[in-house]
Amino acid sequence: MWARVMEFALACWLALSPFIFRYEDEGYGLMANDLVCALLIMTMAFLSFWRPLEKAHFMIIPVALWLMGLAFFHESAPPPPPYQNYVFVSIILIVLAIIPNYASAPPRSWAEYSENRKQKGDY
Amino acid sequence: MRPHTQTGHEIDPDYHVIPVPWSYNPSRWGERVAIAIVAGVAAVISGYMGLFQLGMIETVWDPFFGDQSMSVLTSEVSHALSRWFRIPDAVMGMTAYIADIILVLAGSTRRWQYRPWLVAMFGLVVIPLGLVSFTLVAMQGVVLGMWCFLCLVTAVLSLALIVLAWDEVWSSWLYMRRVWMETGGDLRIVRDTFMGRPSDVAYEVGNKMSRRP
Repeated sequence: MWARVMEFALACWLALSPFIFRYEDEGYGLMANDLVCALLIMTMAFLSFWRPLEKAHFMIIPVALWLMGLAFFHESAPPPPPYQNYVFVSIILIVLAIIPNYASAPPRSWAEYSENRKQKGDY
Repeated sequence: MRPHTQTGHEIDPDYHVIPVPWSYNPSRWGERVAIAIVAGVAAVISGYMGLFQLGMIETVWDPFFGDQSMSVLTSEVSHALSRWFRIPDAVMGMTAYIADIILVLAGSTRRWQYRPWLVAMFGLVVIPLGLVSFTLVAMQGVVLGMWCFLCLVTAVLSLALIVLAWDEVWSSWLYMRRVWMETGGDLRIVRDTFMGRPSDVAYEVGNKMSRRP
């Protein structure tokens, strides 16, 4: 579950970003964008702890792509600091979002399968 | 059935098998933590150069080439890369090394068989990106005629990461190839195997190509 915890931490960073980078020229729209995206990411990471919605973390990928799109479709290259922050945050979020919940354990299907085969004395 | 938790599998010998062609398990924790440490050092160095490119620090430490480091980090090549990446190239490098750390630490000690997609992702980030970054650094020296000590250090670390990472990627590749051949190219089973879903063929191939320590 460490990937979910790190997603949560990155979402906190995103929510704090308006107070760290220069957002004066960007207006309140971008600030609101950060807060909404951070809330969405936190929600998805949090919901993944609940078994019926354990794959919710994959829904972080569209949010990350949105942030990346904001940076890549900005008129200036490289874009202002808030957008550069999006590039870093979105790449790390995408890498984290594909990490399974119990990453250090084998996939549940494999654990069950090999256990069944072993019980049949079939190693 | 063994509960699906973080405990249990660590002591099970089935999760510490040795795949061909190695005399050790390339997915073992020792090796993967070593990769994470090397990538971590590279991330810190890149981050330091990134701070300079972002204008947060005034100078860059260089014991051999003096001001050449700063010329490399503010060169036209570097500016062009920053326009493509949308962030300074050293910051992009740092991001890639952090991605390496995340991808190397995920997965069990038998992930070469149980999660080939994860090993493939890790291999894709480490091997081609490592070669690209090495080429870029070498190019800066050859094209600009100027060298940057810390850039060279990260280039060497990138190559070290490739050397450390490739054994696991190779075992995963051999496993996928054998599953492909055993099934006569059954795309559905090959895809399932790649995505980490079990099947009789995948189970048997995995056992045939590995031995217990």
